[in-house]
Amino acid sequence: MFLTKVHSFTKFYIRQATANRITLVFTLLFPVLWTLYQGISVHRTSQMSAGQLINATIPFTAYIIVSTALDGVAFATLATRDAGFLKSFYFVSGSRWPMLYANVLVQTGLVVLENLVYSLFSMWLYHAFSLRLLLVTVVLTIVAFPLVSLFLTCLLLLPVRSNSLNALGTSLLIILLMLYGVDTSNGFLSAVAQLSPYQFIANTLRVFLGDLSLGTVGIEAIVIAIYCGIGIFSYQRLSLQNRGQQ
Amino acid sequence: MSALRIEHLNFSHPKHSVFDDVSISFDNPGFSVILGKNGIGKSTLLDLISHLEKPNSGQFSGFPPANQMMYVFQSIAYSPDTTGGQLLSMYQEMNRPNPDFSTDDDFYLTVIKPLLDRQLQVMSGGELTVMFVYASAAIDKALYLFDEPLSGVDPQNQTHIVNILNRLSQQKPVIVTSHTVVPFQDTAAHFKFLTPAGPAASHTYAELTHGVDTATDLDIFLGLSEPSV
Repeated sequence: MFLTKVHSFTKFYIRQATANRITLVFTLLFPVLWTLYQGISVHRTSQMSAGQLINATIPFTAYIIVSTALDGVAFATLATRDAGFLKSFYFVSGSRWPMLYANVLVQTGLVVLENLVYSLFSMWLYHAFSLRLLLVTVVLTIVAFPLVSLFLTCLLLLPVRSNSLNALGTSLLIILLMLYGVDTSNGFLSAVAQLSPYQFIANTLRVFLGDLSLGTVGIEAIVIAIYCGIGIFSYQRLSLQNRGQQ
Repeated sequence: MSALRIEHLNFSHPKHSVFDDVSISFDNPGFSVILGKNGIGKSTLLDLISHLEKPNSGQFSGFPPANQMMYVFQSIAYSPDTTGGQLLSMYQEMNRPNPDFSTDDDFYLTVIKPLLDRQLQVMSGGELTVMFVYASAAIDKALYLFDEPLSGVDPQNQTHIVNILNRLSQQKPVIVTSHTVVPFQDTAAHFKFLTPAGPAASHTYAELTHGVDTATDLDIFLGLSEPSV
Protein backbone atom coordinates (compact mmCIF):
# COMPACT_ATOMS: atom_id res chain seq x y z
CA MET A 1 0.00 0.00 0.00
CA PHE A 2 2.86 2.39 0.80
CA LEU A 3 4.34 1.95 -2.69
CA THR A 4 0.91 2.49 -4.24
CA LYS A 5 0.67 5.79 -2.38
CA VAL A 6 4.16 6.81 -3.53
CA HIS A 7 3.17 5.89 -7.10
CA SER A 8 0.01 8.00 -6.92
CA PHE A 9 1.84 11.04 -5.57
CA THR A 10 4.61 10.56 -8.13
CA LYS A 11 2.08 11.31 -10.88
CA PHE A 12 1.13 14.52 -9.05
CA TYR A 13 4.76 15.63 -8.65
CA ILE A 14 5.58 14.86 -12.29
CA ARG A 15 2.72 17.18 -13.28
CA GLN A 16 4.08 19.84 -10.91
CA ALA A 17 7.64 19.47 -12.23
CA THR A 18 6.62 19.67 -15.88
CA ALA A 19 4.61 22.79 -15.09
CA ASN A 20 7.81 24.42 -13.72
CA ARG A 21 10.25 23.60 -16.52
CA ILE A 22 11.95 27.00 -16.28
CA THR A 23 13.44 26.04 -12.87
CA LEU A 24 15.44 23.29 -14.58
CA VAL A 25 17.00 25.83 -16.93
CA PHE A 26 17.91 28.20 -14.07
CA THR A 27 19.56 25.41 -12.09
CA LEU A 28 21.79 24.61 -15.07
CA LEU A 29 22.47 28.22 -15.99
CA PHE A 30 25.10 29.09 -13.35
CA PRO A 31 27.21 25.89 -13.73
CA VAL A 32 27.08 26.06 -17.52
CA LEU A 33 28.02 29.75 -17.70
CA TRP A 34 30.84 29.37 -15.17
CA THR A 35 32.20 26.28 -16.89
CA LEU A 36 32.00 28.07 -20.24
CA TYR A 37 33.96 30.99 -18.78
CA GLN A 38 36.55 28.63 -17.29
CA GLY A 39 36.78 26.67 -20.50
CA ILE A 40 37.28 29.72 -22.67
CA SER A 41 39.55 31.79 -20.42
CA VAL A 42 41.54 29.32 -18.31
CA HIS A 43 41.71 25.93 -20.00
CA ARG A 44 41.56 27.28 -23.52
CA THR A 45 44.41 25.28 -24.95
CA SER A 46 44.49 22.28 -22.64
CA GLN A 47 42.79 18.99 -23.22
CA MET A 48 41.76 17.22 -20.04
CA SER A 49 42.19 13.65 -18.90
CA ALA A 50 39.19 11.82 -17.42
CA GLY A 51 40.49 12.43 -13.88
CA GLN A 52 40.98 16.14 -14.50
CA LEU A 53 37.54 16.36 -16.03
CA ILE A 54 35.98 14.76 -12.94
CA ASN A 55 37.83 17.20 -10.66
CA ALA A 56 36.77 20.17 -12.80
CA THR A 57 33.09 19.28 -13.05
CA ILE A 58 32.23 17.68 -9.71
CA PRO A 59 31.87 20.97 -7.76
CA PHE A 60 29.15 22.02 -10.18
CA THR A 61 27.58 18.58 -10.19
CA ALA A 62 27.40 19.03 -6.42
CA TYR A 63 25.94 22.52 -6.87
CA ILE A 64 23.20 21.14 -9.12
CA ILE A 65 22.42 18.43 -6.55
CA VAL A 66 22.27 20.87 -3.61
CA SER A 67 20.32 23.60 -5.40
CA THR A 68 17.75 21.08 -6.70
CA ALA A 69 17.43 19.56 -3.23
CA LEU A 70 16.82 23.04 -1.86
CA ASP A 71 14.38 24.29 -4.51
CA GLY A 72 12.82 21.06 -5.73
CA VAL A 73 12.36 19.35 -2.39
CA ALA A 74 12.76 21.60 0.68
CA PHE A 75 11.15 24.77 -0.66
CA ALA A 76 8.72 22.82 -2.83
CA THR A 77 7.51 21.06 0.32
CA LEU A 78 6.94 24.46 1.89
CA ALA A 79 5.06 25.63 -1.22
CA THR A 80 2.80 22.56 -1.26
CA ARG A 81 2.21 23.04 2.47
CA ASP A 82 1.27 26.70 2.01
CA ALA A 83 -1.04 25.85 -0.92
CA GLY A 84 -2.89 23.36 1.31
CA PHE A 85 -1.79 20.22 -0.56
CA LEU A 86 0.28 18.74 2.24
CA LYS A 87 -2.55 18.53 4.77
CA SER A 88 -5.09 17.42 2.15
CA PHE A 89 -2.80 14.67 0.91
CA TYR A 90 -1.97 13.66 4.47
CA PHE A 91 -5.62 12.86 5.18
CA VAL A 92 -6.04 11.02 1.86
CA SER A 93 -2.97 8.84 2.33
CA GLY A 94 -2.84 8.65 6.13
CA SER A 95 0.86 9.52 6.19
CA ARG A 96 3.08 12.46 5.29
CA TRP A 97 5.96 10.30 4.05
CA PRO A 98 4.64 9.08 0.65
CA MET A 99 4.56 12.73 -0.53
CA LEU A 100 8.21 13.27 0.34
CA TYR A 101 9.29 9.94 -1.18
CA ALA A 102 7.39 10.71 -4.38
CA ASN A 103 8.82 14.20 -4.73
CA VAL A 104 12.37 13.01 -4.03
CA LEU A 105 11.89 10.25 -6.62
CA VAL A 106 10.73 12.70 -9.30
CA GLN A 107 13.44 15.24 -8.46
CA THR A 108 16.11 12.51 -8.48
CA GLY A 109 15.13 11.69 -12.05
CA LEU A 110 15.33 15.36 -13.00
CA VAL A 111 18.63 16.03 -11.27
CA VAL A 112 20.23 12.99 -12.91
CA LEU A 113 19.09 14.39 -16.25
CA GLU A 114 20.44 17.85 -15.41
CA ASN A 115 23.81 16.47 -14.32
CA LEU A 116 24.05 14.34 -17.46
CA VAL A 117 23.39 17.42 -19.59
CA TYR A 118 26.01 19.37 -17.64
CA SER A 119 28.59 16.54 -17.91
CA LEU A 120 28.03 16.17 -21.66
CA PHE A 121 28.36 19.92 -22.07
CA SER A 122 31.67 19.89 -20.14
CA MET A 123 32.97 17.00 -22.26
CA TRP A 124 32.09 18.89 -25.42
CA LEU A 125 33.79 22.01 -24.09
CA TYR A 126 36.99 20.22 -23.05
CA HIS A 127 37.02 17.82 -26.00
CA ALA A 128 37.17 14.82 -23.69
CA PHE A 129 34.58 12.06 -23.55
CA SER A 130 34.57 10.00 -20.36
CA LEU A 131 32.14 7.17 -19.78
CA ARG A 132 33.55 6.97 -16.26
CA LEU A 133 32.50 10.58 -15.58
CA LEU A 134 28.99 9.84 -16.80
CA LEU A 135 28.71 6.76 -14.59
CA VAL A 136 30.16 8.55 -11.56
CA THR A 137 27.76 11.46 -12.12
CA VAL A 138 24.71 9.20 -12.29
CA VAL A 139 25.62 7.02 -9.29
CA LEU A 140 26.77 9.97 -7.18
CA THR A 141 23.55 11.86 -7.90
CA ILE A 142 21.30 8.89 -7.17
CA VAL A 143 23.03 8.23 -3.84
CA ALA A 144 23.66 11.78 -2.63
CA PHE A 145 20.53 13.62 -3.77
CA PRO A 146 17.94 11.86 -1.55
CA LEU A 147 20.17 12.20 1.53
CA VAL A 148 20.92 15.88 0.91
CA SER A 149 17.21 16.53 0.27
CA LEU A 150 16.24 14.84 3.53
CA PHE A 151 18.86 16.81 5.47
CA LEU A 152 17.81 20.17 4.02
CA THR A 153 14.23 19.74 5.27
CA CYS A 154 15.70 20.97 8.59
CA LEU A 155 15.52 24.49 7.08
CA LEU A 156 11.73 24.23 7.13
CA LEU A 157 11.69 24.30 10.93
CA LEU A 158 13.32 27.75 11.04
CA PRO A 159 10.84 30.32 12.39
CA VAL A 160 11.13 32.62 9.36
CA ARG A 161 8.74 33.63 6.61
CA SER A 162 8.75 31.71 3.32
CA ASN A 163 10.30 34.53 1.27
CA SER A 164 13.04 35.07 3.88
CA LEU A 165 13.71 31.35 3.77
CA ASN A 166 14.20 31.51 0.00
CA ALA A 167 16.75 34.32 0.39
CA LEU A 168 18.46 32.41 3.20
CA GLY A 169 18.60 29.27 1.07
CA THR A 170 20.14 31.04 -1.89
CA SER A 171 22.78 32.65 0.33
CA LEU A 172 23.49 29.31 1.96
CA LEU A 173 23.99 27.74 -1.45
CA ILE A 174 26.67 30.26 -2.41
CA ILE A 175 28.36 30.45 1.03
CA LEU A 176 28.68 26.67 1.31
CA LEU A 177 30.09 26.51 -2.22
CA MET A 178 32.66 29.19 -1.37
CA LEU A 179 33.62 27.43 1.86
CA TYR A 180 34.00 24.08 0.14
CA GLY A 181 37.55 22.79 0.59
CA VAL A 182 38.62 25.58 2.97
CA ASP A 183 41.03 24.07 5.49
CA THR A 184 40.77 24.85 9.17
CA SER A 185 42.89 23.70 12.11
CA ASN A 186 39.90 24.03 14.47
CA GLY A 187 38.61 20.51 15.14
CA PHE A 188 35.03 21.56 15.86
CA LEU A 189 34.75 23.70 12.72
CA SER A 190 36.31 20.92 10.73
CA ALA A 191 33.71 18.46 12.05
CA VAL A 192 30.86 20.90 11.30
CA ALA A 193 32.27 21.47 7.80
CA GLN A 194 31.86 17.75 7.15
CA LEU A 195 28.11 18.28 7.43
CA SER A 196 28.12 20.68 4.47
CA PRO A 197 26.29 18.98 1.58
CA TYR A 198 29.16 19.88 -0.77
CA GLN A 199 31.65 18.23 1.55
CA PHE A 200 29.39 15.21 1.83
CA ILE A 201 29.11 14.90 -1.95
CA ALA A 202 32.90 15.24 -2.33
CA ASN A 203 33.41 12.56 0.32
CA THR A 204 30.90 10.26 -1.38
CA LEU A 205 32.80 10.76 -4.63
CA ARG A 206 36.06 9.73 -2.91
CA VAL A 207 34.40 6.51 -1.75
CA PHE A 208 33.14 5.80 -5.28
CA LEU A 209 36.58 6.43 -6.71
CA GLY A 210 38.03 3.75 -4.44
CA ASP A 211 39.10 5.56 -1.26
CA LEU A 212 37.86 3.02 1.25
CA SER A 213 40.08 4.17 4.10
CA LEU A 214 38.59 3.99 7.59
CA GLY A 215 38.60 7.80 7.86
CA THR A 216 36.68 8.43 4.63
CA VAL A 217 34.18 5.60 5.10
CA GLY A 218 33.74 6.42 8.79
CA ILE A 219 32.98 10.09 8.09
CA GLU A 220 30.61 9.04 5.30
CA ALA A 221 28.68 6.69 7.62
CA ILE A 222 28.46 9.27 10.43
CA VAL A 223 27.29 12.05 8.09
CA ILE A 224 24.66 9.77 6.50
CA ALA A 225 23.38 8.85 9.98
CA ILE A 226 23.22 12.53 10.99
CA TYR A 227 21.52 13.52 7.72
CA CYS A 228 18.88 10.80 8.18
CA GLY A 229 18.34 11.61 11.87
CA ILE A 230 17.97 15.36 11.32
CA GLY A 231 15.89 14.91 8.17
CA ILE A 232 13.42 12.43 9.67
CA PHE A 233 13.03 14.53 12.82
CA SER A 234 12.53 17.76 10.85
CA TYR A 235 10.02 16.44 8.35
CA GLN A 236 8.05 14.65 11.05
CA ARG A 237 7.91 17.90 13.06
CA LEU A 238 6.91 20.07 10.10
CA SER A 239 3.46 21.53 10.69
CA LEU A 240 1.04 20.40 7.98
CA GLN A 241 -0.59 23.79 7.79
CA ASN A 242 0.79 27.26 7.46
CA ARG A 243 0.23 29.08 10.74
CA GLY A 244 0.68 32.55 9.33
CA GLN A 245 4.37 32.48 8.39
CA GLN A 246 3.71 33.75 4.91
CA MET B 1 -20.09 2.30 19.23
CA SER B 2 -19.17 4.89 21.83
CA ALA B 3 -19.78 8.57 21.14
CA LEU B 4 -16.90 10.89 20.34
CA ARG B 5 -16.43 13.31 23.22
CA ILE B 6 -14.43 16.43 23.94
CA GLU B 7 -14.50 17.68 27.51
CA HIS B 8 -13.21 20.86 29.10
CA LEU B 9 -11.46 22.03 25.96
CA ASN B 10 -9.25 25.07 26.26
CA PHE B 11 -7.50 26.54 23.27
CA SER B 12 -6.09 29.93 22.48
CA HIS B 13 -4.18 31.60 19.71
CA PRO B 14 -1.53 34.08 20.88
CA LYS B 15 -3.40 36.93 22.65
CA HIS B 16 -6.81 35.45 21.74
CA SER B 17 -8.77 32.76 23.55
CA VAL B 18 -10.90 30.56 21.25
CA PHE B 19 -12.34 27.91 23.60
CA ASP B 20 -12.69 28.21 27.35
CA ASP B 21 -13.88 24.98 28.99
CA VAL B 22 -15.97 23.82 26.00
CA SER B 23 -17.51 20.33 25.98
CA ILE B 24 -19.16 18.69 22.98
CA SER B 25 -20.01 15.18 21.81
CA PHE B 26 -20.76 13.58 18.43
CA ASP B 27 -22.75 10.46 17.53
CA ASN B 28 -20.85 7.44 16.26
CA PRO B 29 -22.09 6.62 13.68
CA GLY B 30 -24.06 9.78 13.06
CA PHE B 31 -24.36 13.13 11.40
CA SER B 32 -23.27 16.21 13.38
CA VAL B 33 -23.49 19.73 12.02
CA ILE B 34 -21.55 22.40 13.90
CA LEU B 35 -23.17 25.82 13.71
CA GLY B 36 -21.92 29.14 15.00
CA LYS B 37 -21.06 32.69 14.14
CA ASN B 38 -18.06 33.62 11.99
CA GLY B 39 -14.83 33.37 13.94
CA ILE B 40 -16.37 31.35 16.77
CA GLY B 41 -13.94 28.48 16.11
CA LYS B 42 -15.81 25.94 13.97
CA SER B 43 -12.84 25.26 11.67
CA THR B 44 -10.46 25.41 14.63
CA LEU B 45 -12.51 22.70 16.33
CA LEU B 46 -12.05 20.44 13.28
CA ASP B 47 -8.33 21.28 13.28
CA LEU B 48 -8.14 20.24 16.95
CA ILE B 49 -10.03 16.99 16.32
CA SER B 50 -7.71 16.18 13.40
CA HIS B 51 -4.55 17.05 15.41
CA LEU B 52 -3.59 19.89 13.07
CA GLU B 53 -3.76 22.08 16.18
CA LYS B 54 -2.89 21.13 19.75
CA PRO B 55 -5.24 22.13 22.58
CA ASN B 56 -3.95 23.86 25.70
CA SER B 57 -5.93 21.31 27.69
CA GLY B 58 -8.97 19.04 27.41
CA GLN B 59 -9.90 15.38 27.06
CA PHE B 60 -10.68 13.74 23.71
CA SER B 61 -12.24 10.27 23.87
CA GLY B 62 -13.45 7.86 21.19
CA PHE B 63 -11.69 9.62 18.29
CA PRO B 64 -9.58 7.55 15.87
CA PRO B 65 -5.96 8.50 15.17
CA ALA B 66 -5.48 11.30 12.62
CA ASN B 67 -4.30 8.93 9.90
CA GLN B 68 -7.70 7.18 9.99
CA MET B 69 -9.63 10.42 9.52
CA MET B 70 -10.69 12.11 6.28
CA TYR B 71 -10.74 15.89 6.42
CA VAL B 72 -12.03 18.03 3.53
CA PHE B 73 -11.06 21.67 3.96
CA GLN B 74 -13.15 24.69 3.06
CA SER B 75 -10.43 25.91 0.72
CA ILE B 76 -9.76 22.90 -1.48
CA ALA B 77 -6.24 22.52 -2.88
CA TYR B 78 -6.23 20.88 -6.30
CA SER B 79 -4.06 20.41 -9.34
CA PRO B 80 -6.03 22.23 -12.10
CA ASP B 81 -5.35 19.82 -14.97
CA THR B 82 -6.34 16.74 -12.97
CA THR B 83 -9.63 15.21 -14.10
CA GLY B 84 -12.41 14.11 -11.79
CA GLY B 85 -11.65 10.51 -12.71
CA GLN B 86 -7.95 10.89 -11.86
CA LEU B 87 -8.87 12.42 -8.50
CA LEU B 88 -11.22 9.56 -7.69
CA SER B 89 -8.63 6.96 -8.77
CA MET B 90 -5.94 8.63 -6.67
CA TYR B 91 -8.10 8.51 -3.54
CA GLN B 92 -9.15 4.93 -4.16
CA GLU B 93 -5.66 3.63 -4.97
CA MET B 94 -4.51 4.74 -1.52
CA ASN B 95 -7.41 3.38 0.52
CA ARG B 96 -9.89 0.57 0.82
CA PRO B 97 -13.12 1.51 -0.95
CA ASN B 98 -16.18 2.37 1.10
CA PRO B 99 -18.64 -0.44 0.21
CA ASP B 100 -21.61 1.93 0.61
CA PHE B 101 -20.53 3.94 -2.43
CA SER B 102 -20.61 1.74 -5.51
CA THR B 103 -20.19 2.75 -9.12
CA ASP B 104 -23.53 1.30 -10.21
CA ASP B 105 -25.87 3.34 -8.03
CA ASP B 106 -28.01 6.12 -9.45
CA PHE B 107 -26.17 8.94 -7.73
CA TYR B 108 -22.81 7.88 -9.16
CA LEU B 109 -24.23 7.40 -12.65
CA THR B 110 -26.17 10.66 -12.81
CA VAL B 111 -24.03 13.09 -10.79
CA ILE B 112 -20.45 11.80 -10.54
CA LYS B 113 -19.89 9.97 -13.83
CA PRO B 114 -20.43 13.07 -16.03
CA LEU B 115 -17.68 14.84 -14.06
CA LEU B 116 -15.03 12.11 -14.45
CA ASP B 117 -13.63 13.28 -17.80
CA ARG B 118 -13.61 16.97 -16.90
CA GLN B 119 -10.56 18.77 -15.56
CA LEU B 120 -10.97 20.24 -12.08
CA GLN B 121 -10.11 23.71 -13.43
CA VAL B 122 -13.21 23.79 -15.63
CA MET B 123 -15.61 22.61 -12.93
CA SER B 124 -17.78 25.13 -11.10
CA GLY B 125 -17.13 25.66 -7.38
CA GLY B 126 -20.16 23.52 -6.59
CA GLU B 127 -19.14 20.66 -8.90
CA LEU B 128 -15.63 20.75 -7.48
CA THR B 129 -16.95 20.42 -3.93
CA VAL B 130 -19.31 17.60 -4.96
CA MET B 131 -16.35 15.79 -6.56
CA PHE B 132 -14.09 16.14 -3.51
CA VAL B 133 -16.85 15.26 -1.03
CA TYR B 134 -17.76 12.17 -3.07
CA ALA B 135 -14.12 11.08 -3.51
CA SER B 136 -13.61 11.44 0.25
CA ALA B 137 -16.78 9.58 1.17
CA ALA B 138 -16.00 6.74 -1.24
CA ILE B 139 -12.89 5.71 0.73
CA ASP B 140 -12.97 3.82 3.99
CA LYS B 141 -12.01 6.00 6.97
CA ALA B 142 -13.04 5.93 10.63
CA LEU B 143 -14.14 9.57 10.86
CA TYR B 144 -15.06 12.20 8.26
CA LEU B 145 -14.67 15.96 8.76
CA PHE B 146 -16.01 18.52 6.29
CA ASP B 147 -15.38 22.22 6.77
CA GLU B 148 -18.27 24.25 5.31
CA PRO B 149 -18.93 21.98 2.31
CA LEU B 150 -22.06 23.99 1.40
CA SER B 151 -20.29 27.34 1.31
CA GLY B 152 -20.68 29.03 -2.09
CA VAL B 153 -22.54 26.05 -3.55
CA ASP B 154 -25.83 26.34 -5.46
CA PRO B 155 -28.97 24.65 -4.01
CA GLN B 156 -28.86 21.70 -6.44
CA ASN B 157 -25.26 20.85 -5.62
CA GLN B 158 -26.00 21.46 -1.92
CA THR B 159 -28.62 18.71 -2.19
CA HIS B 160 -26.04 16.39 -3.80
CA ILE B 161 -23.51 17.08 -1.04
CA VAL B 162 -26.03 16.58 1.77
CA ASN B 163 -27.13 13.35 0.07
CA ILE B 164 -23.52 12.04 0.15
CA LEU B 165 -22.96 13.12 3.76
CA ASN B 166 -26.25 11.62 4.91
CA ARG B 167 -25.48 8.25 3.29
CA LEU B 168 -22.01 8.29 4.79
CA SER B 169 -23.34 9.01 8.28
CA GLN B 170 -25.44 5.81 8.32
CA GLN B 171 -22.24 3.82 8.95
CA LYS B 172 -19.60 6.34 10.07
CA PRO B 173 -19.35 9.46 12.22
CA VAL B 174 -19.56 12.58 10.05
CA ILE B 175 -18.87 16.06 11.42
CA VAL B 176 -19.67 19.07 9.25
CA THR B 177 -19.42 22.81 9.87
CA SER B 178 -22.04 25.03 8.27
CA HIS B 179 -23.76 28.40 8.28
CA THR B 180 -26.92 26.95 6.76
CA VAL B 181 -29.43 24.55 8.32
CA VAL B 182 -32.30 24.20 5.87
CA PRO B 183 -30.43 21.95 3.36
CA PHE B 184 -30.10 19.36 6.16
CA GLN B 185 -33.82 19.27 6.99
CA ASP B 186 -34.45 15.77 5.57
CA THR B 187 -31.53 14.18 7.41
CA ALA B 188 -31.14 12.86 10.94
CA ALA B 189 -28.40 15.42 11.63
CA HIS B 190 -27.83 16.75 15.12
CA PHE B 191 -26.96 20.44 15.16
CA LYS B 192 -24.39 21.68 17.68
CA PHE B 193 -24.40 25.40 18.29
CA LEU B 194 -20.88 26.40 19.23
CA THR B 195 -20.20 29.13 21.77
CA PRO B 196 -16.79 30.17 23.17
CA ALA B 197 -17.54 28.67 26.60
CA GLY B 198 -19.58 25.91 28.21
CA PRO B 199 -21.24 22.83 26.68
CA ALA B 200 -22.45 23.02 23.07
CA ALA B 201 -26.22 22.49 22.91
CA SER B 202 -27.49 19.77 20.53
CA HIS B 203 -30.75 19.99 18.54
CA THR B 204 -32.60 18.10 15.83
CA TYR B 205 -33.98 20.01 12.84
CA ALA B 206 -37.54 19.83 14.28
CA GLU B 207 -36.34 21.28 17.57
CA LEU B 208 -34.60 24.12 15.80
CA THR B 209 -37.62 25.10 13.72
CA HIS B 210 -40.23 24.45 16.46
CA GLY B 211 -42.30 22.73 13.79
CA VAL B 212 -42.52 25.84 11.60
CA ASP B 213 -42.15 24.55 8.02
CA THR B 214 -41.25 27.94 6.57
CA ALA B 215 -38.37 28.65 8.96
CA THR B 216 -35.39 30.21 7.18
CA ASP B 217 -31.70 29.92 7.99
CA LEU B 218 -31.82 33.42 9.45
CA ASP B 219 -34.78 32.55 11.74
CA ILE B 220 -32.98 29.45 12.97
CA PHE B 221 -29.67 31.21 13.42
CA LEU B 222 -31.21 34.10 15.36
CA GLY B 223 -33.21 31.59 17.42
CA LEU B 224 -30.06 29.74 18.37
CA SER B 225 -28.37 32.95 19.41
CA GLU B 226 -31.12 33.48 22.02
CA PRO B 227 -30.40 31.82 25.39
CA SER B 228 -33.99 30.47 25.65
CA VAL B 229 -33.54 27.99 22.77
